[in-house]
Amino acid sequence: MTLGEQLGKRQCAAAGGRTKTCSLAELGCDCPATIVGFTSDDQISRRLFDLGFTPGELAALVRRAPMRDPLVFNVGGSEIVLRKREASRILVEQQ
Amino acid sequence: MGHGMAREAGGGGDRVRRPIHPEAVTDEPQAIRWVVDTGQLRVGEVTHAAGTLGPMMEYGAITRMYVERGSVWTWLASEHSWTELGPRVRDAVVTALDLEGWDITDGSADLLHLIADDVVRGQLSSYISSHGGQISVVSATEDAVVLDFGGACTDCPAAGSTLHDRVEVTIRDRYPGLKEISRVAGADSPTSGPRSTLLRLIPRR
Amino acid sequence: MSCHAEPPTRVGAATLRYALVGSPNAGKTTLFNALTGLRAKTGNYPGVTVARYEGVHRIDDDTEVMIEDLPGTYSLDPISPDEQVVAGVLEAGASGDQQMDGLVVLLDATNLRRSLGLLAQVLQLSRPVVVALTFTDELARRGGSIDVEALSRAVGVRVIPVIAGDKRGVASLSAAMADVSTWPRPMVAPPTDTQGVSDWATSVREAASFRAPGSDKRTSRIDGVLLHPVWGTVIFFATMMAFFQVIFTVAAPMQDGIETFFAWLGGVARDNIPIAWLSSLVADALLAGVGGVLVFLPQIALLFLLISLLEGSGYLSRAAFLMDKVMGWAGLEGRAFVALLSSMACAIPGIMATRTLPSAKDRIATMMGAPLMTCSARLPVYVLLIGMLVPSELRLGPIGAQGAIMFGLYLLGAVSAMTSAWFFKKIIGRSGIGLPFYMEMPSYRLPRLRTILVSVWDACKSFLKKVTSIIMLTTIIMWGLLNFPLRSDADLARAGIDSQDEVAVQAYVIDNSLAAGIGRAVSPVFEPLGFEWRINVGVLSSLAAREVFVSTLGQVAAAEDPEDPVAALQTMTHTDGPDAGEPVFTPSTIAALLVFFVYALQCMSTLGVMRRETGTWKWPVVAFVYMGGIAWVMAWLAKLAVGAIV
Repeated sequence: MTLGEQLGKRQCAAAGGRTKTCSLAELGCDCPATIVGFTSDDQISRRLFDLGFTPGELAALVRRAPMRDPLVFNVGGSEIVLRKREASRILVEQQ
Repeated sequence: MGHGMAREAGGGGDRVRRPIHPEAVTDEPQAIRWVVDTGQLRVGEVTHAAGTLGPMMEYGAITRMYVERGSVWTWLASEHSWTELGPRVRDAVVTALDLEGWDITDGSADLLHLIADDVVRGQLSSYISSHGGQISVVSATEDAVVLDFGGACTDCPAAGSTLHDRVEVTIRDRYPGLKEISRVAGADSPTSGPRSTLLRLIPRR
Repeated sequence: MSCHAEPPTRVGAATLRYALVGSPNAGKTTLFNALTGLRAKTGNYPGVTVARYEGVHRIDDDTEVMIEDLPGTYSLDPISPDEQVVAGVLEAGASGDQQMDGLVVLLDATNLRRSLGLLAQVLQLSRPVVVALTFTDELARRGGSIDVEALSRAVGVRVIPVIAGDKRGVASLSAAMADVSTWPRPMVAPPTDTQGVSDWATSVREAASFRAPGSDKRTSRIDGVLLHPVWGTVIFFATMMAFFQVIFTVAAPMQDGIETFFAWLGGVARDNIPIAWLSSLVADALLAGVGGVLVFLPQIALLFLLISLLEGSGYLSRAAFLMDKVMGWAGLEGRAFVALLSSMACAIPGIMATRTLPSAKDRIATMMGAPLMTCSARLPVYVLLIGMLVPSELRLGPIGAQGAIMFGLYLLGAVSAMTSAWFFKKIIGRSGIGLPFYMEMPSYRLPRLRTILVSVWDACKSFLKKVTSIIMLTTIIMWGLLNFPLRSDADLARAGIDSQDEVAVQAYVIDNSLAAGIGRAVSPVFEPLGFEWRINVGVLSSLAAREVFVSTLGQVAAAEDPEDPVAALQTMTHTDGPDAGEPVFTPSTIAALLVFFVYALQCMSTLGVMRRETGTWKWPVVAFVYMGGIAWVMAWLAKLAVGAIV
């Protein structure tokens, strides 16, 4: 098995039984929220994980583009631009 | 829930999670020091380990194990390699830290020697050399270490004492049972002899 | 290259090969340039449109090593064919290449958690690894800190801090690369599962006494302005307009200078070479060809300078952020905006700029649209034709009619480019999961002069190497078509042309040349558009470069009225056929011609660059054919529309 295949088998945890979770796209304010999981376990979620959206880390909305999409998030010390579609895959728990 | 630990809910089953990483031990290719929060475990030599570590020790795959504050030291038998058993030992350590069944001696001279070695040759090595010093471990007992303060330390008691304190605090952080650190000047240093005896009589803070 | 399975044997001091691995924005390019300088060569990875950078680093007078700058990546879990290539190179060595002797992994100290994730993946490969820790200065500036030696012990490999502009880090790295056998290796590779690697990274950061940096206040303050919903957009458009102003005011005079210089050289050739056809070959084909290549350089150099400045400072990602929604309407993403914008000056740097797009589908779709943006070569044609169509005094309310039409043509080009990109995005390849859009917005940094210069140099060099031959070939062929069959003095006498009258001779030669023959032969195709055979000749000649249309028509017209070619064109009449005696340049014909130029891909250099970027002739041919077809249809519609109005 190549490394790529091996890494492709990684599972991205779904949030599982927590209350008070919403998706990153729904964050209304710029307060930091803790990442708890992803809505689905697939390649895109794994890429988001590798970008720094790891469960346990804090993420905060920094700003929106003029037409409300895409969005900029602060996570792990860097600013990452995501479209609403991708941001809605990330589940967070507000403080 | 223990300190520094979490249970992962859903997803891949009820696996215990702990931050942990391995570090090499100088001059000991069969040893790994697992840096992990050991909680309330006693510091000393492990005679019986909890969880799957126990059988690994019994069957001789793991030949030696120590627990210090913040690390678990493990030695593999020479016929095994870390490439082969590393992940298993790691998982076993993480799980075992939660379980009952540990039998650990109260302190260990060998462990203290290893820790002191790691401190002066690894953890504080650049701090020591930036002060012009050169420290090595001469011997250790269950609660005391004898260090050889070579280099610039021998000429400057004040700097030596700062260095000495730093080394002591660092070792004690990892081995709470440390009672004293004694100095022995190098054989060819000018302060060997009566002077060094004098220093030893000055009470340590 | 041997394809045997056995490991390559090293004889004596064979060159060691290292790869640079790291995320985009981690400082990889800066490090690569610092190590290799201008000694880098570019190419493509086999089978994909991903650029490959390899360079030589001299450790000391006797030792050299090869360094390959792998494309920036966040993960070795490939999400696209491009990333598959990187993964492949790292694992075994791609198709016949040797395995890497060592890997230099870049960790960004301001993004340590994410960087450690990538390191954990690379450590699975069991190749020797050394870490280059970048941006430790920025970490300190933002209130963070790290114990580099403790980090080194915790990850099990040597960690060398590297700061841009500081030679010491690079020197340490260089020394390390001399002997890979001294590199420490971790006792156990980090786990790969998501929870395991998170725990490993947490433990490592704690052991290294890592204090995370605060937010970058300077960047936040600047972004507060530059990304402000109102002010940010205003500043953005102002910046883009300034972008263009610079191109036209700085590059244009340089281009004029080059053209004048080569025209002068041509004159010298003509005066000094006694044999008529040879002097014409040298002046009009060879020199004109070389001049035709060099005339692109000021624009390419300047555009790449600006793009590189924008990218290095970090503003480019802001521009992509602001434009992503609009680009999304065409199925593209924000970064495609830069490529399309650059194409408004010249499609060549625009097409080269598609390298910043991670998705191969996006790259090709953008390349298919880029030539439709109104490039500067179309301007002389537009100016000439609009001048013939509409008098300069005519106004549409407060706006001049000529300006309005020009603007309309630009708009048409832009809309067509977007539509075309959208179309190709839809039809290319099998529909798999589309690549998700994500982009990092790095802190604002002062770009390093060296990086910028290297980028400009690299662009110009690759343009010259690959496109020169195409332009030279096309120019010589066009010259041949326009000047053959050669006319001797006897032929001229028989036709009643005074062989001393250069203008008349030239006109006669063109009128009876191979090109004219082709022009007449293809008239059935172009007749519905209202193109007379002389226009066909002009269109044919513009295949070399669009602005040649003007000079070719000028030559044809000057034969009739050397003083005022435009007037001559306006009064030019059909010589034969059903419209004999009617003016050639009727409003509907001019409109059709204008629209034709909006769509037709007449630039051989563009085709050459497309070939180079995609690695195949398929896409340039597709572009040429489809754009030619659309050009014909749209020109015909324009003719009908204008014919109905006027």
